Amino acid sequence: MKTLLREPLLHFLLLGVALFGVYGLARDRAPDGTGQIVVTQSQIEQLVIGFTRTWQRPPTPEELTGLIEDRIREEVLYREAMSMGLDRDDTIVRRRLRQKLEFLIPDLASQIAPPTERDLVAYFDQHADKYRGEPAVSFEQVFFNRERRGTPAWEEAKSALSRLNAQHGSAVTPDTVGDTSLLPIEVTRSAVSDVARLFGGTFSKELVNVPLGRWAGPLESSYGLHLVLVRERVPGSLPELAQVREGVLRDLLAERRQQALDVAYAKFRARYAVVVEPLALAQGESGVSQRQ
Amino acid sequence: MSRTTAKARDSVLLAMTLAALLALPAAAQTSDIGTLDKQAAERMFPGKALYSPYAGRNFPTRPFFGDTHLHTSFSMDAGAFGARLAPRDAYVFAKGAEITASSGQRVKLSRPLDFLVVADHSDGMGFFPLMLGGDPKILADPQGRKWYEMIQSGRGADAAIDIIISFGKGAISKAILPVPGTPAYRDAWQETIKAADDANDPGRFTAFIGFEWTSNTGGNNLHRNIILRENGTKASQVEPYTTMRPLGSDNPRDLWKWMSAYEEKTGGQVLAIAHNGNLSNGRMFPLIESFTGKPIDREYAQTRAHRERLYEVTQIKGDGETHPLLSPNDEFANYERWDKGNLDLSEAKTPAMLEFEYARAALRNGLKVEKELGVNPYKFGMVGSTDAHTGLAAVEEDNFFGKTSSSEPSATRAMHPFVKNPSTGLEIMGWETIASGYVGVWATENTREALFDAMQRKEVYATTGPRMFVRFFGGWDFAPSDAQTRSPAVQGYMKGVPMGGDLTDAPAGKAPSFLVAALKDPISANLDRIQIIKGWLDAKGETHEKVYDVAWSGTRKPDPSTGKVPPVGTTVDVANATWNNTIGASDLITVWRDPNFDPAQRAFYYARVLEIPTPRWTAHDAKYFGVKMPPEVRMTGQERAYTSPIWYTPK
Repeated sequence: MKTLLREPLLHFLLLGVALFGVYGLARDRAPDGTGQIVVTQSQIEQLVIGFTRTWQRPPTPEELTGLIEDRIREEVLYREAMSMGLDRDDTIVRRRLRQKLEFLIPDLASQIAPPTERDLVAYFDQHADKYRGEPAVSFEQVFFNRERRGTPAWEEAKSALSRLNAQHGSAVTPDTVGDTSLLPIEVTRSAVSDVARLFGGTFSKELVNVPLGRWAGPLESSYGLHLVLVRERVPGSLPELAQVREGVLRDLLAERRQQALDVAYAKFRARYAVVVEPLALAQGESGVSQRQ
Repeated sequence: MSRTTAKARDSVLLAMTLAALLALPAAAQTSDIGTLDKQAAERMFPGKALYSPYAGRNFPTRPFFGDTHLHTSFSMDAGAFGARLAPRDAYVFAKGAEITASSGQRVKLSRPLDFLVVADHSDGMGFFPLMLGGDPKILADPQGRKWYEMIQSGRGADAAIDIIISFGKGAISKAILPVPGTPAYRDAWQETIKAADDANDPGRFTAFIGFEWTSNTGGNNLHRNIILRENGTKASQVEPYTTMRPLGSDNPRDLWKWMSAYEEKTGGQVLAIAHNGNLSNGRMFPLIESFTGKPIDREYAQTRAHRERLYEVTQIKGDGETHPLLSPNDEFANYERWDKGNLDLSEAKTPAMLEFEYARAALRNGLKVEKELGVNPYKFGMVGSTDAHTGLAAVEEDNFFGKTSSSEPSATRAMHPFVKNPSTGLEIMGWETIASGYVGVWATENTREALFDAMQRKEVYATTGPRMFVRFFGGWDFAPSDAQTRSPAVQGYMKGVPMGGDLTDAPAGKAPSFLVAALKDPISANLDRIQIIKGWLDAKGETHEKVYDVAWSGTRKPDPSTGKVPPVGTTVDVANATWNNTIGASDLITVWRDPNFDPAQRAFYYARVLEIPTPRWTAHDAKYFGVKMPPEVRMTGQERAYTSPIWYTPK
């Protein structure tokens, strides 16, 4: 019970009830002084649109009357609550207002100065890595058909490998070892995931570890064995701006919004002398832990 | 020195050197930088092929697999049968993502596709999303309101049937049916375009803009899929061509006019692919035009050959290569046949119709017409596609998501009638739908332009689902050793023409030779055999066909009397819906020369590749759902690929 009495929420509620009582007794005029509530045509249209979106049909006349009545009720209670100051010191209201302002500032900023072509190009250049595609690889491969060669296929591939890498003497060209296949013998700048689709996942995973510029293997695919010569690895190519334009624009706008917000916040912040009191020791909590 | 000047200087030097060599080929030329003899010069300016076999070439090295024919909820009938996935979802799924099907089941492809065409019916495009969304204009119409309320109160199936029947009769209220020119139609088309443009990812995934023109008068299928080469900037300048008068027409000649108009207006390109001749009741490949009752004329032949370079030979509603009555000597002709009637089974099939419905017969008649009119109207390449109405291009036997959303996997789907017509008493059962197919496109890269151009030159082949690689080259000089090189395609392109190409002007005493090869799908079954199908026109003006076994697995010997290679056998365990690759070959390759060539006779040749038998989707269903299929249900099959033909035309 003691804890409950210390609860700020309770204080707040009691205060609210008191306020309500005081205002209620003190006045019988509407707080804004006019005492008039006008439900405009455009507000009614909004109500109809909202209803239709939810129920997939327009409201009936009775439903519309209900909607309007609800709107009036909302307005009355809203005005009364405002006049009582119920919006003050309310976490939810504070958060909502902060959010509103945070949305509002950047939206204004982006409307005032839409990015120019030059802005887009500059942003794209500065953040090129964000738009890079998947890493790609170029390689040549020699196929060894296990179905035809049987068990010796592995050894035969191995021996071909040393001959392919030999500098002279026993050196051979890739066309003279290996078997015929419909698989591409030369793969140029292909995304690693595409390699996986052609040769299987195990092959493409192993290919990543093959050193550049030397015949290596054998690597195993869904079809048999392969010797591979990896010519290059490309860290993901940079697309043309035109290809990623929408994304770049979205990112640039997002960055602008954040900047606008930061600038605006700095300005607002400068209007205040901020005092942060020295941090007091959290007595209650340390007390709790001591008791345990 | 500027770059241009340096280049010019080099060219001058080169020209001088070459001139000197040409003038005195054998003699050594002495100048103040030494002697340039022929050997040295050859090292510098090689006269024969470059050392690197890949330099200076840009031919396709791998096929791209896709579906040119997929419907989503934007198609009137798809929506009616419960499809809720939109074009956008269809592309996401084709790219390999796991999504939720309209039936609520999770679904994913074994591997992404390389490209997709969402081809929703142009008539009534986008109607269902509007209906389901409770569009105020639809609700303001008594008919629209009635259907909406039926759907809302859980009688969606009744509503769907009523809608489809009304649509077929042209009895849908004008106020609610989206037709070209109305905002609702424009929205649906714009969303179709935008979904494709957003999904298109050059080099990785191609999303074509397209639609289906669904001419179906009297239930006779004359459907065509339309594919645009360009992006939304051009596609937005037009609206799809429909079949309903007065805006549209059910006559293909009018569609071709629309295609020309599109090209003239936008400077773009467009192609049309017909499908399901098997449900046209003798009208798909006419010699007598059904619209006029007169023989097709030169203009028809010319325009058709120009506009319809491909034919969708296999898809969920049956395989259309050939028919046992047309090809009595082809023991593989009886594959997934639909020959009971037209699309709505309102008219029964008669044997006389078949000749004008199947691809092989059309290729044969094409030779005949060419001789008479000087143009071959039926000189088409082969594609396979799904025609699924689910937004899901899922036609693997163990991952078959059906023709419509109501035939997505369930214990009973095989035994629901697919079409039933009480007036004729005909019906086609759910189990007769086939998990087929895709198209393989030999393009230089995965872009709209490259794929479209490959389709236009017919360097494509149909498969019934598996993604096997198939090569087919024709020429005059292929030798058996060409089948043993490291990369047979290099020889293929250098010495011949690829599938879809033409041969003419036979060198004296030579018969055409063909380099043909197939590689199994890495996750599917081994290959049984490669066959070459030849069709020709004899001196009397009669057409003929013959099927040759040219490469096969194992040590089987062709029967000495028939020349046919015996069956490969089977490893299928139907009860467990499994098979193994202990029979068959993972790849087949050979060079074949026509043993009965007559240089005076027009001919075509195409390759058919057969897999070993595997369990059909019905076997997978039976196993998964623990149901017993009636005895008439096919449980196994030999999946296959058909290449585009190569034509021989005497000079």
